[in-house]
Amino acid sequence: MTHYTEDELILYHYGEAPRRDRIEEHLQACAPCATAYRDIARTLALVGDLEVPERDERYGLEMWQRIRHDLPPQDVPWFTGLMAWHRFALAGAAAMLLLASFVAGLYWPRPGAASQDAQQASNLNDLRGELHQMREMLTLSLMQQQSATERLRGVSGSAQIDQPGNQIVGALLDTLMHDSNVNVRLACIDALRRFSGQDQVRRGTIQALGESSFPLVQIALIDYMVETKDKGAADALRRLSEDSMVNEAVRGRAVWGLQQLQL
Amino acid sequence: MKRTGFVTASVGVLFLTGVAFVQAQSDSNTNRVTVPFSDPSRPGTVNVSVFQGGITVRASTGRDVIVTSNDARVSNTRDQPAGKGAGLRRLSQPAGLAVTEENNVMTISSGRLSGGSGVELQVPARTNLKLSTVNGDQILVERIEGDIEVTAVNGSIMLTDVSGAAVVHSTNGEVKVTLRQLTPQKPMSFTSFNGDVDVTLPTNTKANLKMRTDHGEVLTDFDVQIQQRPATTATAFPIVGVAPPAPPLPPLPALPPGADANERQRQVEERQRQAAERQRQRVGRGGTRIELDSSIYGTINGGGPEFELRTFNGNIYLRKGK
Repeated sequence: MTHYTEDELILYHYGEAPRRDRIEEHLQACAPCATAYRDIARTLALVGDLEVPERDERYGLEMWQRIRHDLPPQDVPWFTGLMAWHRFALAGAAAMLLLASFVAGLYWPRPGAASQDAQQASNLNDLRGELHQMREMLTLSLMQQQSATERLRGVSGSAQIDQPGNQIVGALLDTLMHDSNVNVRLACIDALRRFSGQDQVRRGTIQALGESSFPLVQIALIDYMVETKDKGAADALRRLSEDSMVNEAVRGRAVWGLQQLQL
Repeated sequence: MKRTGFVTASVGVLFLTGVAFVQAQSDSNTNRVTVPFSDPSRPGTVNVSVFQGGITVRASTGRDVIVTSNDARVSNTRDQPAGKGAGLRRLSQPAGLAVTEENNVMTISSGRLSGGSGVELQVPARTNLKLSTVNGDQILVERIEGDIEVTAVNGSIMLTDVSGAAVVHSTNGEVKVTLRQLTPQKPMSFTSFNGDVDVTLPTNTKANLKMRTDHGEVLTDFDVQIQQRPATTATAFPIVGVAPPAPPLPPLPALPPGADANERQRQVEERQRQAAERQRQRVGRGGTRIELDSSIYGTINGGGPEFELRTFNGNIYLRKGK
């Protein structure tokens, strides 16, 4: 069975692939390709509404000015004159080479079915790796957007990444501590739950508890500390429970948190 | 070529106060300025950030933004100056609004920390909004299409007949949102700390819901398919092996003579409930794992992007639109 390439599946996603009905049939019959297609569709859905920034009309000139000094000097090659005299001979040689390649291809031993399957499996793995990277980059990019809905989309998109790298975890922690929107910070606490075993997440969430001034975020963080049994949060909880400037309900929750952790 | 505009307008005038004077000059309390977007062919963004006063944004048929500031003359409602100020007239200050437009993003802000004034805007229907106030009594948005982000500390938020996607939070006020149409695949979030969260969505909305109130009720007329909390991966809680069973509950006390059999049945049911609760608080890796998340997870119309509705002191109302 011939599998479809990433490019073909992307074209299919956008409705631009030739023989669309054959791809559709194939996707119904082939589980690996169907999985790969679902990954592609999910990733492409993330970029669906991103606006393409407009370029200034001076963009080309500015870019040229920026790179022109880094380009190596271009000398005129010594064979330029030769090329002019022997153009026809070179064209003939190229034609001969093409013919020889064609004949050699006819007699070249073909790879067996097993090696073809192994090659296809390897291609699928490569494809998955690329998609994983692409999804991480998109998620990071969404978390940097001006719009809170886009940042929320980035945070919730992070949950769909299997075994995300440190960059994603770092970006979630940074968003939890510095995002201007309460709701985006709340979503971060949920998204970080699956990394609660990591040291940097424990430290980051404790720091966020000490620095946040939003009562809803503070309460969600206290619940998170208790749920993850983070006894390292004791000092932060104590400080919160004794701070008269802190919302009364939050102080009460901090006391409750200390009791739950038996500190 | 994209045109970049930069407009700064100081809205507000200095005027004398005194009840009689103010009544006579009531029209001059309102200051109005019209500011165009640098590229009206695409949706612009309006950021409004004020410390005092409410914000009202309504859709208009025009392409410009009309900013109207009602200078709240705090002195209008005060008594005549007394003490050291006796015999003097009180002067009120202008709203001091600054309006800036750059790259299709309009920013309206006020540096005043007291003597609040309301800001009213008429904007093109397709506009993205980012609004925030600290001491305004209300933020009202009507018939706008776009990404809408609204934050209030001491006031309520009302989004009426809006389309697009919304992220809304009020610390001490109610959140009431009626969405006419949603942007597909965009998550949304509606939260309050001390107020109700009341959200109306189109009937055919597909969404994954997370709803939670700590001191209130969750009410809806949607057919919500309740789901378990989404599972976290193994990295979340590295629980090793099977959790040991919870210690048995103490035996039920003997029934007094002549006691009602229904009472025993009630006790048994209560016991079963307690046992289930203890089972939920499973033990893992030598410690108790407490399931604190009392959120309701569910889907409507088969599921879709994630919508969070959350309050601490209040009810959650999720309604079907008409």
